[in-house]
Amino acid sequence: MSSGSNKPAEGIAGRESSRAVGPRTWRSLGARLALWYVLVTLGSFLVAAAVFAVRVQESMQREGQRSAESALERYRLALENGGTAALESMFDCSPGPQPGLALRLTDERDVELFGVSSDETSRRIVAVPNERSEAAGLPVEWHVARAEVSQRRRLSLAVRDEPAGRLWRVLRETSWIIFGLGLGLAVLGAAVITRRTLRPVTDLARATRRIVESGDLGLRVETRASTDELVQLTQLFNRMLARNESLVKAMRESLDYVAHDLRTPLTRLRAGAELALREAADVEKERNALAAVIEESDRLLGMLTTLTDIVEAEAGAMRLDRHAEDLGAIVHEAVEVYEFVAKEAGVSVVTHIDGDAKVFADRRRISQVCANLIDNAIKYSPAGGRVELSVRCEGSSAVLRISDTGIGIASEDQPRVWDRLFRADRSRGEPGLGLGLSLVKAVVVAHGGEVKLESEIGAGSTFEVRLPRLR
Amino acid sequence: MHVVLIEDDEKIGAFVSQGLQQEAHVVSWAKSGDEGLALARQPGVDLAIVDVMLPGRDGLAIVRALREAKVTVPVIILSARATVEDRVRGLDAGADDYLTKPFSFAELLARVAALRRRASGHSESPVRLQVADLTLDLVSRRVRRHDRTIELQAKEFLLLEYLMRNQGRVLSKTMILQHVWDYHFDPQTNVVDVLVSRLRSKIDREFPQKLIHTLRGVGYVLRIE
Repeated sequence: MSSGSNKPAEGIAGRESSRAVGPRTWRSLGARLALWYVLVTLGSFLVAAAVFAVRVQESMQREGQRSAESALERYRLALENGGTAALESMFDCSPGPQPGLALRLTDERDVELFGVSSDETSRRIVAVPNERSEAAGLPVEWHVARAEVSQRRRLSLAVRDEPAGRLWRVLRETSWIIFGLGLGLAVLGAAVITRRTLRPVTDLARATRRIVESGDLGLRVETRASTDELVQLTQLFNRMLARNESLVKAMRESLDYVAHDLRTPLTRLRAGAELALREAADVEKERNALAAVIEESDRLLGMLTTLTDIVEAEAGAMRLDRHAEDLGAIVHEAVEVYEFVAKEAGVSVVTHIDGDAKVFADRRRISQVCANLIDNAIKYSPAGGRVELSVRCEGSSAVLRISDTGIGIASEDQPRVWDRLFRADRSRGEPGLGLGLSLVKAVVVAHGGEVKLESEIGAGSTFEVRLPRLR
Repeated sequence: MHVVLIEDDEKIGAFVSQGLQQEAHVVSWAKSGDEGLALARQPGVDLAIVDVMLPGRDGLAIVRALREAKVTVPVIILSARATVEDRVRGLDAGADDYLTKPFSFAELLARVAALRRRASGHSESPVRLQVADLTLDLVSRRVRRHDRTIELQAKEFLLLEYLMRNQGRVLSKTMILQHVWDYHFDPQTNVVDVLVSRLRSKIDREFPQKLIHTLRGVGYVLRIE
């Protein structure tokens, strides 16, 4: 095989399996494809050539035989009329352009009575007794004819058809040239085709190797615009890479978050315990410190749980126990939970629930979404404020809106409130607040819905949750 | 009550077994799955508390083996895995209850008590609950303290009933959330504290003897001190 057709093979498996022993080239897809291509091309050429040769040979044989038989007929007439002398004189003056003619007269026991030939080959050919063996061993330009003559004798003639022989040789040589050219073209074609066909695969393999070696998740496979299956494969592969990259990025961010935001409560926890140890004399203080440690660790635990939930939901790994649920009922329940909290905070809560907002949802998760939003709204409303909840059906969506009369969120901060690390006013020190909203978004998106925020500084905020409505 | 505890972690095991012993239970503590299974199969065992991650045979396998052998001893599973599926898998294996680590001891005790009530068959449903001079009538839904009738809202009533039924037992915030609102997650707010403080203002504020007590970091308890 040419080196050209070997290249893609090397590209795919060559370097990769350099540790493997044995003729791995033949096991590679590219090499096998090329080999098959060459074999099929040559095979079809050989079949075509064989059919052609058989047909040409048959036709040449027929023509030559006919002329040999007509010549024999002339000699037979000469023999019958003038005996072997006439035969010999006729043979001598026969103007064959080249030597290649023999006559032989035999009796019934195949004993030669008379023989004349222009050369050794023709003499030998005419002397071969059996017709079948003649057919087997006879070169294509030779023809043998036989005829019965008087006195149970037999006249045989062997003649060489020189032009036909030349033509046959030319044909044969031409065939070999075509065969050689065809072989070259087939190998070249195989090389080009396998290379072109397998290019997406080799690109894929190369990119994968680069990613594996460098650990750079931002790398992508080169793709061309095409509907070709292999190109589609690389495009899909790229999409998968992009997804993986975003997942890993989310994981890293979560880890950052843990490192960043859990450190503070952990430090507080440690400080509290240490203080209690130092002032161990006072049992009451010790008890208080221990209680604070438990409270702090509970808070940490809550944050961790929320964080795992968010990461799971964002990664599409959150398992949702979904049933047909009434969004209004879920909201109503959540409002009930916060009834006393709102009273305590001096915030009035008003709900307008449209009766028909059915959603296909995990009740517990959507309850959590509502609870977080209500909690948020109450927390950020001043005493005397008002929180309004509405559940409505809008086209194919069930929409929950929660408005408060709180401090509002600056427009430049609005897109970032759903971010995990974001907290608009850090000095406020409401732990887990940023987490609450990112959990809301993650859960809603995991349900195929979307979240929205409208807010104005001083006038309050409206959070909107839009879920696909079940009909 | 004879409790078999199957837990390989020294600290958690000591914490649970000491706590249960203080509550006057007899505790047999096994540190491996096979040893624990053998202990739990013995007659006279009233309850098994089984950790999921164990050397040898894991907790779910122990529960399954017990149920296959037709041992009906109540089982509480302890696990660090908190998802709903894990919970369902535990209960499917034949456990009676499932508690996620880390847990508060008060919660474990309450669950043990609930299982004991269920096992002993009489889910005591008295018509009237009484603690000191506080009475709660479950039929007329009337609450009285000393000689005064106290008006309670539905959730306050539910909470008081829950506290009175578990008199002397500490109830965690999670348990109260589950019982009063049927919320199986922690909304990370002070809804429970608010409800308890409302109830306290109605039950305790005007009386010298306080009945509702806060155990910081653990939960609430109604008892005579």
